[in-house]
Order: sequence, then structure tokens, then C-alpha cells
Amino acid sequence: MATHPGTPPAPPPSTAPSPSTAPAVPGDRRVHDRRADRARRGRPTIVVRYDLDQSDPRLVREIHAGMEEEGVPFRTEPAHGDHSHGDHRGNNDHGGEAAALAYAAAQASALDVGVGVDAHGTVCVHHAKLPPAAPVLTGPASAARVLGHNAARIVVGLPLRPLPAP
Amino acid sequence: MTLVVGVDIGNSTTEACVAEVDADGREISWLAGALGATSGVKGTTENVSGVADVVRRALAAAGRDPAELAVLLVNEATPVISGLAMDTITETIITESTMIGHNPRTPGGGGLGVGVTVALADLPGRDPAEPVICLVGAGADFDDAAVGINSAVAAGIQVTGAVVCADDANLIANRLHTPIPVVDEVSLIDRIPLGMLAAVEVARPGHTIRTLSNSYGIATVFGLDPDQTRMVAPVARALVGNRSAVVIRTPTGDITDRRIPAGRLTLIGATARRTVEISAGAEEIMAALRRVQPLADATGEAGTHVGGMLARVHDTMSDLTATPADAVRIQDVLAVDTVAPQPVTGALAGESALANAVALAAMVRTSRGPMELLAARLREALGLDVLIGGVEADMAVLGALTTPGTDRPIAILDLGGGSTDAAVAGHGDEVRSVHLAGAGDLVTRLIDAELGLGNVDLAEEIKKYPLAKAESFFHLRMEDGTVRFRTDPLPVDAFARVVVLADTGVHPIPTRHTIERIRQVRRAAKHRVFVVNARRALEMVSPGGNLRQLGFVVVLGGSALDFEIPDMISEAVAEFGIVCGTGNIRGREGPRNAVATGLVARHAATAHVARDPAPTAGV
Repeated sequence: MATHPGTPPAPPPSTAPSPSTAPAVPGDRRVHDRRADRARRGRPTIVVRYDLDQSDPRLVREIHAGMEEEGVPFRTEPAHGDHSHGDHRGNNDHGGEAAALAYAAAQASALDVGVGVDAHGTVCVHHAKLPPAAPVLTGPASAARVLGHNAARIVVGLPLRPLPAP
Repeated sequence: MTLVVGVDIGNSTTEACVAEVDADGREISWLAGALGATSGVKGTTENVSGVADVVRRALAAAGRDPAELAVLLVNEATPVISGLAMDTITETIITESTMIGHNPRTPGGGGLGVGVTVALADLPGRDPAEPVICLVGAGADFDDAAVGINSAVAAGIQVTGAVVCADDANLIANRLHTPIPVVDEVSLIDRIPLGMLAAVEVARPGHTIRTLSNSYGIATVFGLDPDQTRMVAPVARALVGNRSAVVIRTPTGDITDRRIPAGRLTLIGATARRTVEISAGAEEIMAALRRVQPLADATGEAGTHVGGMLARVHDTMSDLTATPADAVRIQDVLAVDTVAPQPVTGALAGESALANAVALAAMVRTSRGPMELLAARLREALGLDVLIGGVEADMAVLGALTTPGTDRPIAILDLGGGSTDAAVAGHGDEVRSVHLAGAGDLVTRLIDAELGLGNVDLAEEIKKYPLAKAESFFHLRMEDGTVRFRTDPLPVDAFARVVVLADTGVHPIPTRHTIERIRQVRRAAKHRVFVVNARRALEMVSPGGNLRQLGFVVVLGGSALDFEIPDMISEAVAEFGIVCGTGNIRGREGPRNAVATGLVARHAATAHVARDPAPTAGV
């Protein structure tokens, strides 16, 4: 993703995530079509993006269970984890990839909260208004249920649950 | 001109004031003040290092060489030390056979279910005629539980409710074909007996439970007679306000609100002695105390809570002051009613109930032996002339008079950590003073106990700083309703929590209390200690006990720096038509440094041949 320093005030054809403005529209549309935007984003949900190489269905189920128990709607999308490498060069631990997925998910979420699951099973919870490299929480697959709860609790405004000891 | 330093050794802080006094004592030029922690118990030789440190810093602030210093003045430390004790006087015991609970954040379903407790695995094959409550133990998957209950219902078994160990209530309820109330997060589910009649209730969204929080509701559900209903009344009371509850009743079930023998407190006055039941509450104790004034000692009935409390005070005091325990005399007590969350015996998930408690602060007068020794040690350590100045209260009055806008007759109210002191000075030399038990430390203890924090440092911060609620990662709503935005995100553990805005950062309070509740506990604790003590102290020192005779009241001491205590006191004495406010020593030190300043003023006045009782108070 390229950012354009000194961009003109008109909406640039950039896909750089800018939390305070509406998500970038593909192409070079000058008029901001709010209705189309809303339709694209759908009903307010937490977005879960998991890497296609992540094969354990129980992991995503556990994340879902945490969010359902808290009563917050969610939707799930598969994604390719490798699109993120440009953003997180030099970040060797798996959290970087999960964080990139989670950040992209949070940008796509009308509730501003996203969950990313990378190929290794690392789960990351992100908020659209936080810096990309500073996710809310990152944990192993064993903490998936609690991370699902916490993603939902960010939306409803409840104190987060502590992650289980590894 | 001679360079002098006045040093006030207090219970928790040591303060110094550096000034230059001319030869006849008419002119004082104030140079600087400093403040540090008191090393050791005040009035003992342990104080030397703290005094040396604070003197050095005061001189550095004044930009003067320690070699120039002519004399060091220390106050005759009022030999009072305070102690605290707190104990519950009631406790709720639920015997093993009746269990109650519980208030998870997310119960599932809704309504009331009554039936016999049955484990999930034992559901198939139950008699369809008998309603059952399904117990889902630890480790059971929510899908399996929902399938199990659904197939049992399909087979005609009346499953009226479920109790779940994990946080799964909504997950299970969402998968059931027939809605039933589901209560989850019951961590001690293994302790629930099987085959017993139980009731599960989950309130509709936004409501609280109706049946199980009502004694007659429980009586109806379990078919209780009047005597049994009387016994379950505490259960109903404990469940008021919950969104969900489980009550399990076994034939021998019992819950009692037992009063621990709190014991009797004997107050021995100079001429009278009175005995008062601790369980009568703080008001009765304080009324008895007023009748025996002045207090010579207090003892508690042996083998009871109050006996233990006073024994602890005596022991702590005798340790601190190195006097035998039977020589320690309690000169004042302050009793405060409080509540403390206590774990309920027999609860389902570690619930606690609020038990009534009484906190006692006691003030002890010690012999003034070590003062001379301390002066000698200071003389060795600093290599200067050390003079023991006047009585602390007299010095505080002289210091308070350097506050702009004050005049005699003046009363000071010194709100410290351990004790609340008051003194009154008229136009003459005579100063009347009292030392009362109970001050900042007691407030901290009350906050800690009432919120069930178990963390005195956090309670201290709650006492000192305003609260806020972290409403997102970027904004805080203050307790007064205003909003503050931040550029850096808040720490994750502070999200959606009530936080204290301490100088050192934003510290989350790890409880479920609301911001209103914490604020109310904080203000009530300050009111019960400082406002009560301020009125008590001023009544004792004012001529004829009439507060209207006081002209000016100056509030001093560390707790006068508090963001709300001075206002509370001003409000409380407003009806007496007196000028009351926080002191501003030498027009710039605020409520601090009064005694140290008074020492210098007195020193200058004695140097002055005329011995004018009101020394010039230049700023």
C-alpha cells in the first residue's frame, strides 16, 4: 500500500487507510456515494479475516463463539495473508501478519473492530482507529475464545477479559 | 543576620523552612521551604536521616551554603500516634445445602425454571412427568449441550432451565428450540447436589429478577412454610438487583445472617466510665465518648472482635514507641460505620455479600522521652546548634498567621495522615489544642475495605485523584461529565474501566463498581472522617464549645491539599458564620510548612527583647 505525501484535498486514488474518512472507493470517483458505500459495508458487524492456509475450523468457531456469547454480530471472510508483507517488513513474529489481517478487517468493519487469523493460528484483535502496528490484543490459538469475547467487548464497551496464561 | 532553619517532623512528612533573622528579631526574610518523607516513627532517633535530607534540600533551594547555618529548630513533636482496626460485625453464612447465585454478565434465555437438578449426561431416560434443571459441567461443548437438551425436550422431558459452568449461556440458549433460562459462569458447579429441587431465573433485557429476589417468590417456588420463609429471607435479599439467579434448596438447607459477638467497648474517662456495644454502631460509640470526655483509656471485652481490635492497637503502639503494652493509653477513638464485602460461604461462584463493619481509629499519647535524644543525634549528624522549640500546636498557630487575611482569634485545623489536630489562639499567649484519632489513613482504609480492593496503594490513589471512565481507546469521561481526548491510545487493561487519573498515569480500577459508586464511597469516607473530626475538634477547642466564637479557621496539613476535603469542611462550618479556608503559609506554601514557619517566627520573637507575641510576618 502506497501513501502519497502531500496529496491534494480531492479524494486521491489511494487505498491508504485513513480512519477518520470514509473508506477509499476503487477507481477515481470524485463524488462520494454514501449509499453505495453503506451497501458495500453491509450491516454493522465485526469482521473476521482468516488466512486461507489456516486449516483448523475449530479456531474460527471459537472466535465466533466468543462474539456470539456477547451478542455482537460478525461476518467472516477468507483472505490471503501474503498481501500484508509490504506493511510489516522485518517483523519476524507471526503476530505481524495476523495484525495486518486484523487491521484490514477492522477497516472493513462498520463497528471498527476486526479479527485476523494468520496461517500459524495466531489471532489478533484490532481497532480501526488504532495505529496499524499497535493491535489491541494478540494471542495464540488457545486464546481464541477469549479474543472473540474481547473483540465483542470493544464494541459494547465492557472491560476486556484477561488472556489465559499460555 | 543569622540563617536559621525550622524543621517540623510529622507522622508522614518532614518539612523545613529556611529564613534569615536579623539580630533583634524584628526582620525575618523567608528564603525557602522543603518537604520530604519522615524516616521512621516521628519523635525517634530514626528521624535524623529524613531531617538531614530535607534541611539540605531547603538550603539548596535557598541557594545557601550549609556552613552558614547558625541554628536548627525542631518542634517538640506532639507524642501522638494513631492506630487503626477494622472488623466485620455481621457475616452471611449459607450452609452447604442451600446455594445461591449469581450474576454473570451474559446469562441466556429468559424466564423462571423450576425442577430437579440433573447432569447433562443423565438427561436421556428421565421421567417426563418431573421437570428438571440441566447442569452442564466443565469442559462440555455448547453444541453438545444444546443438542443434548434439544433431544431430551424432543423426547418429552421437561427441561425448564440450565446451569452452565463455562461462559456459554447465550451460545446454548441460541441453539435451543424451546427457550429456557440459562445461567452461566457457575464455577463451582461440582458442588451443586444432583436430584435436588432448584430454581433458575433470568430477567428480561433491562430488567432485574422478580421471583427469586422476593422471599414469597422463593416460598411459592419451593412450597415453604412461614418458618422456612423466614430462613430464606437473606437469600432473597442477597439476590436483589441481579439479572439472573440460581437457588438450590435441600431439606436441611439454611442460610443465616449471623451476628458475630462484636463485644463491648469500655471508655474510661477522667471522671466517668461507660460501656457501649460495638454493634450499636458508630453513632452510639461517639455519643458515649462525648459523655466521658476527656478520655483516659479504652479497653475492649476480651475474646470479642473489639477486644482484638484494641489489643492490636495497643500492641502496634507499644512496638512503635518501645513502651510496655499496658503503659499505652488510648486518648481518643473515632468509630466509623462501614461495609466490607465478605465471601459468602456456600456460594456458587465466589460471590460476596456486604457485611457491616466498624472501623476504629485510636490515638495514643506516648512519653516524650526520645526528643532530647533526637536533638543530640541531630547535633552530631549536622554539626550545628539544635534547639527544641515550642509546642507543635503553638507553632502551627504562628505559622498559620502568616496566611494573608488572617488575624486572631484564630483556629487551625491540621488534617494529617494519622490524626486531626486543632488549636485555638486568642489575643494572649494561651493556645488550646486537641489531637483526635482518624485522618487520611483511615479514609484510605475505608475506601479499600468498602470497594473490596485489597490494595491500599490503589485506595490511596482513589482518595487523592479524580476518577474517569475510559469510554474508548482515545477518550476519557471525567467524573464531572467532561470529556478529555488523548493522542496516545489508552492501555488495553484500562479499556471501558473506571480509572484514577494519578500524577503517574492512568490507573485502571479492576472491579465492576460503577464510577458513581466509587465516587460516592470516596466522598462518604472523607465526610465520615474529616467533616466529623473537624466539627468535633473545633467544638472541643472553641471557647465554651461555641464555634461562633472563632474568627478565622485555617485548614492545614497534607489532607488540606485534597481536591475536595477543604470544600467539604467549609460547607460543614458555613452555618456558624466563620471565615474558613485552606491556609497559604507565608503567602506561597499552601497548607504546608506551618509548624516549620512558626518555629522560625517564634525564634525571632524570642530573640526580640520585647517578646512581642505576634511576630512580624513578612512574606
